[in-house]
Amino acid sequence: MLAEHWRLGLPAGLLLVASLLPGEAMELNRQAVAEGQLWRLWTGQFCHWSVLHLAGNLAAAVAICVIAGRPIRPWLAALPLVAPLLSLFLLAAVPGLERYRGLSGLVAMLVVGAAIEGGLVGRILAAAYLAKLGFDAFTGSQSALLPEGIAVAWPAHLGGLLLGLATAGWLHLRRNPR
Amino acid sequence: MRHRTLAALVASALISTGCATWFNPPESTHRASVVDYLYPQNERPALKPTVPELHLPLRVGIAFVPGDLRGDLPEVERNNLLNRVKSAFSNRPYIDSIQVIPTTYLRSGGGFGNLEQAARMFNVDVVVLLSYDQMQFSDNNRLSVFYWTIVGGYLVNGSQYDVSTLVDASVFDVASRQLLFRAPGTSQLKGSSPLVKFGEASREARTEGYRQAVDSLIPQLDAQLEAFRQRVKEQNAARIIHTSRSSGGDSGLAGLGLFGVTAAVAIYRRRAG
Repeated sequence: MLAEHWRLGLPAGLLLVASLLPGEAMELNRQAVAEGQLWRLWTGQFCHWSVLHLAGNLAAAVAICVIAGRPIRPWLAALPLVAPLLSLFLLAAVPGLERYRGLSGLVAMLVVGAAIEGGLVGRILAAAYLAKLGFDAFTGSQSALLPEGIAVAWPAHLGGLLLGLATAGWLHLRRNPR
Repeated sequence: MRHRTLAALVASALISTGCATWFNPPESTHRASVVDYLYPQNERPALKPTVPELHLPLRVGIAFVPGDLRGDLPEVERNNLLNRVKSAFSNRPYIDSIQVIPTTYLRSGGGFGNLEQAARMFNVDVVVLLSYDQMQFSDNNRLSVFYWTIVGGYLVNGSQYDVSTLVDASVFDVASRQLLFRAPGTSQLKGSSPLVKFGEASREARTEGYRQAVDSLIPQLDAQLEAFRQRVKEQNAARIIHTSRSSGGDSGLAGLGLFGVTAAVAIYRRRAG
């Protein structure tokens, strides 16, 4: 029980630290990461461009917790492990990306969790989310929650979904050891 | 004897007025015009009715237009002033980076060709060109009569200056060569000093004039930037293209609605069943 609290406290702590410290030092920044500022691989996924941006992503995360209920907790606990992998995915998959902030890539990973743990409603959410991702990728639509000049990083959502599938496999192996 | 006295009087008069003339040129102008730089030898601007394409977040360069005289504003001071403007605007999310372009990279009368070279070299899309026009008037006031005592030249503030400075920022889209917007900053400085310190005091006043003009330019430039953003939204003054250079992980309002509705359905189902 205590261990679970610790595991859930870690992503919450990361979110708190990344939100309170200056965004310039926390964001995922290609050049800074190349210069050795590796903490950005974690904090870049937890810091935001504005309070509105943070509120939007937190609301999405809360909605997933409501849909999936208690079984989503191992997925939340896995966020600090998935965050650097998602950052590396973004740096590799989007060569033009220089700066990134936002939790929504990890929210996409939680959407996979909702699809698996949240029953029919979770699966409907995942299907609709997938359709929205396709629409965003096709149209390059902007978000009203992001400041002017900041593009929506749909590859982060795609990366989150792929890492969500990998997390599903990993959790399945942990629950059903041979 | 009479000739000697006369010669001494003429010599002393020449020396004293000569000093005043050498140390206090009555008027001096330092000027660097953006028109002279971009359209040298009365070249006529070629008007192409195009809508500039701005790739957000913007990569911006900032430079002083090269002036007629190299020594009018030292390069170190130019850099300090440019960095002041840079730090006032660098935290805007729609600005990716602001590069200070040293004047040595620009040629006097270099035109748009030279501007494009510098923009390519510094990898910027938009350049802010700072032009300036500074006039200094120097006079002797009534106290300058004490300069005749020699000691007065060291102690009495008999020389006065009046420095008027205009710094003008013109923001150009390099690809379309279009002026996006402009903003002025002005300053007016007056002061006095003893004759022997006049050169140093007036030089410091000229530099301070540039500083104050740039300080008054920054809020004006900010206001013009906001006005330009409104023009882009309402009158399509420029075509905005969002690049993925700076990105945010965000599901958008539609995504938020989707999460909200499914969460509400989940709560309803749980209560119902």
